[in-house]
Amino acid sequence: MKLFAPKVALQRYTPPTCTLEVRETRSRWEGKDIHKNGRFALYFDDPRLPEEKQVSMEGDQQQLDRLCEVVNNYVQNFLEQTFSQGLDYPESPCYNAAKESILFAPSDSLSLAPKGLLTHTFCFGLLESVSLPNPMMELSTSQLFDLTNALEAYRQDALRQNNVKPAEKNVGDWMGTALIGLVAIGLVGIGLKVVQSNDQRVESLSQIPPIKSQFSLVEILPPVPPAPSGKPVPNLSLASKLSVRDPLPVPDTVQAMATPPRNPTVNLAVPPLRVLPPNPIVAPPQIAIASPNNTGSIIAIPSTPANNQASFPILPSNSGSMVGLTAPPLPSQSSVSPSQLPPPLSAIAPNNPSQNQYNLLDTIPQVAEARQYFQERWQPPNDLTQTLEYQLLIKPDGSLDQSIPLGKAATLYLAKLPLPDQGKPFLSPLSTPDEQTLRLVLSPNGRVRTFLE
Amino acid sequence: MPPTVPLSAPPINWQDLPLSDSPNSAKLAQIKAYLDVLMLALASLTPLETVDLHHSVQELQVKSLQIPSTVNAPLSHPQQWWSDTENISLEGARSLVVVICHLARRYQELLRRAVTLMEQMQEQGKDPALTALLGEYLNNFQAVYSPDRVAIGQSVGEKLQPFAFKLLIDLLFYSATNGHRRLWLVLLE
Repeated sequence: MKLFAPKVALQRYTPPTCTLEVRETRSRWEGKDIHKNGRFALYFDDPRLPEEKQVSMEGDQQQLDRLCEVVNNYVQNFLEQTFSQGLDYPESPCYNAAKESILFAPSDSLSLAPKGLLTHTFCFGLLESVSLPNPMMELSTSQLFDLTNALEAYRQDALRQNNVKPAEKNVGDWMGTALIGLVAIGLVGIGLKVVQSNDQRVESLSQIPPIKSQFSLVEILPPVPPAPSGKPVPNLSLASKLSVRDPLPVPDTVQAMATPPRNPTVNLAVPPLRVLPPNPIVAPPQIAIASPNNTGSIIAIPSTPANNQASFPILPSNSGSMVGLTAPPLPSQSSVSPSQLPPPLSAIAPNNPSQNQYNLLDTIPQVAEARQYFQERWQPPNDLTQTLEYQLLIKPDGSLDQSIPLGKAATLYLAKLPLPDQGKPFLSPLSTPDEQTLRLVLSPNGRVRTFLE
Repeated sequence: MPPTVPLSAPPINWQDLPLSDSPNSAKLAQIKAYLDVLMLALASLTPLETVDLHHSVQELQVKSLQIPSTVNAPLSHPQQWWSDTENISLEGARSLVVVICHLARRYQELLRRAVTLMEQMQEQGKDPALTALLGEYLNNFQAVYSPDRVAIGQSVGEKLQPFAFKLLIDLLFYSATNGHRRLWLVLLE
């Protein structure tokens, strides 16, 4: 019997420099998908690298769709620049010092940024990867080309499958659906009389005129058997519940899951001294984040046990060797007084309710200011179902130069974004003469996050 | 494999490029200029000749592109693919998009090799123009490119080399199966 029979489909796309594997498990109820669980794995095959340095990542169906969107939009923008800027666009591929270097990536981001003509910084914090401690890598243009082709081939296959599926239904499926409904009715114990009426119903269904093999989606969508006289069909409610479960939500960051709702009655005062680690000898090392341009202050965060590290997965424990991440010597406990504790200490403590003020990624004060600005003004639209991401180019005087939506959804909702007036400072002036780029991430649950790029 | 051997390319379904409202003349001129430099860049890397254009037009059944019938010669001037360089239509531009992407796909292997060479030379900190393939391409492109004729940008100078390389990168992406859609979207942005 085909009821709930899981069907696993594996598709593999193998352009020269990467391999994309998509594994899809479908639980079908008489030909109709009631639960679809897709996973994908992406391997970058670089023969120049040893096996331990090969990069791979994986994720679920929604993340794959997001990856398709991000890569597609990035490539399109990359191509449009030649058309719109002509000779003024390119840099020399030989001397392509990056205009902007992304030192670290927020743990839930998925983005691409150009680094000259031939290199692209790929940040895949959204995806699971065991190969790199920091979810970033550099893609060459030919690698990007192959990745684009693999994703496009997957997208075409997915479209093709979606178009084929409706034609698979036939009269037998209709009858099967009706039979399931009848069995369910029997289970609720309506009795022999109902069973008799079921027989009549099957007969009436068998009189449905033959369905042509080519019919539109609209024609075949309602798989509802004729309802018994005046009574609801129980099996339909079951299918409805399962279909609600189908679009699994994108796993959010650990921080978001661990953060308890803030109790307004709780005092937000700094914890007393006794909560500090009592013994300076056993205190764990510090992690410091330097601002990208090395002109900002260094924020030192005493590293606390595993749960706190998990809230900042982009930093390896031995981050001293990484670019932009330094591990200064451990200060003694006596040199740290409660008043000297930097604000980010409260941000990494999962139980501390004051985390909406500061964040580990607030390498410049304008990051927190921008977050506060949008927290006060932005309300998630009711129909918003996915995360929106924008790049905000901030002028040295603290005003907005440009806002760049990342992705189609972000473009659609751009008009509803409470952006400050251009040229009017809404943040404090930058400490650098150059513009800074902030990443604004808006979640459907109303959460606002900002990062320095 | 010698660089002159093209790959067999499946035909492009060019009819899936929607014709929207015709842009104004300034936009059309910009579209024409970009398509011209793309074609010149492709012709500078490959051994394309006017006869290849004629064959592509026949193969793709592109009726709106009237290729002037001239003697067979290397492609070096927009007059070889526009019958009227002054007045071009959006439909004519679409036809040229299809032809360019079709030809780029035929030479995708060569385009890929050119881009890979750039990447390798960059890794070694060397000038890509020192390689035979890219050096010859640059010479050819410099010879046929004229800012007056294909008016993208204001000055040439030292910017020509990265511009010429970026065109090769663009052509590689346009050689993909959905490249014609990408190029069409770029033009109608």
